[in-house]
Amino acid sequence: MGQGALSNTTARGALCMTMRFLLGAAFLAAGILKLSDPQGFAFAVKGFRVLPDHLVIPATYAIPWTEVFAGVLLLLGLWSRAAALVLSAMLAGFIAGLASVILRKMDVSCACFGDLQFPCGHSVGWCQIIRNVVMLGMAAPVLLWGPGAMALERPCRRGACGCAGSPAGVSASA
Amino acid sequence: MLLHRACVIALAGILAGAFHSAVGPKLVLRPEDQFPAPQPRMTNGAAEASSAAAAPATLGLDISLADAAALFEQGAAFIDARRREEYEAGHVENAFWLPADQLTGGRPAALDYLDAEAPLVIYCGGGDCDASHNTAALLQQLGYKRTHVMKDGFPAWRDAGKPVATGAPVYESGGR
Repeated sequence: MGQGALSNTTARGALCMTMRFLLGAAFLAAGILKLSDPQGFAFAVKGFRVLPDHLVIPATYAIPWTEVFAGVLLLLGLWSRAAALVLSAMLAGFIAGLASVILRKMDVSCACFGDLQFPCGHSVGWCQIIRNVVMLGMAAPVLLWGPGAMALERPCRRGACGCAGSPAGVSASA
Repeated sequence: MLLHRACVIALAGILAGAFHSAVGPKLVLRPEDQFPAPQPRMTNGAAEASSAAAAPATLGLDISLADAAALFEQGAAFIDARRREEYEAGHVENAFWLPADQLTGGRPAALDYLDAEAPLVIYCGGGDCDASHNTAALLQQLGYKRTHVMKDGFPAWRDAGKPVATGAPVYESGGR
């Protein structure tokens, strides 16, 4: 990543990079917060009643660790599209789980970001679904177009730092 | 390629989760499972109590410090009928805190630990304090027949150098 890295960035490159950073940071934080209170997250997973009991505790640990790995990959810009795919799949699953809770009129606490209320409250409602849809929207550019600027897997060379294409990177269009 | 990498990421998460689950704290699925159920009876630690042993049937309602001490040695449960600040400042070791007004409302937690067949020693501040008799009367109505009142109260117990403790009632937090 040379001096000219950012100055050569296309608009699309900047978009992908930004989404990557935001999403990566959000999921890394969410994963760490969940791992800091596994019992709390276990209650939430059980409360959703979408998984059979014997899968609740495996999910309690697997979900946040996957979030952490994907988040770190996004922040570094390694395997970015794959990480975005994983997070998109998880977000789709979360949306399905949240919708199921709402439709069954259950009163459950989300524990999506541990104890943090960001920006939604604890109780499952439309806020979390909308938030997840927004995050899906943020993952889409990365999934479709790649990591953008300042990514380890696509060091910017003298060419433009577009999102897609070879590192010689000539996305002439913005 | 993309799908392969995505699967690797997911697999890494699952494996890390499995490892963490194995070395981490044991999790329960329901909040009520976090605390063990209260033991049916808590002794005062001096001896293994049995309802068959302990006080001879001839002990009346009011008992002396010496009789109370003998019951303590046999593991009888003691009940402090004073105000909470007085209880927390000092009470008979392992005594339950049960002022009379807790018995007129809902069912207090302490009753889970008291055996209706075993002798209970209730005390308050000694002198003309009648809180212990009030609690005793209410307990008798609830079916605890073997209630006794240590009429000389806590000051006499403490001054005689008998075992005392301070702090909040231990059973309130769901047990040790």
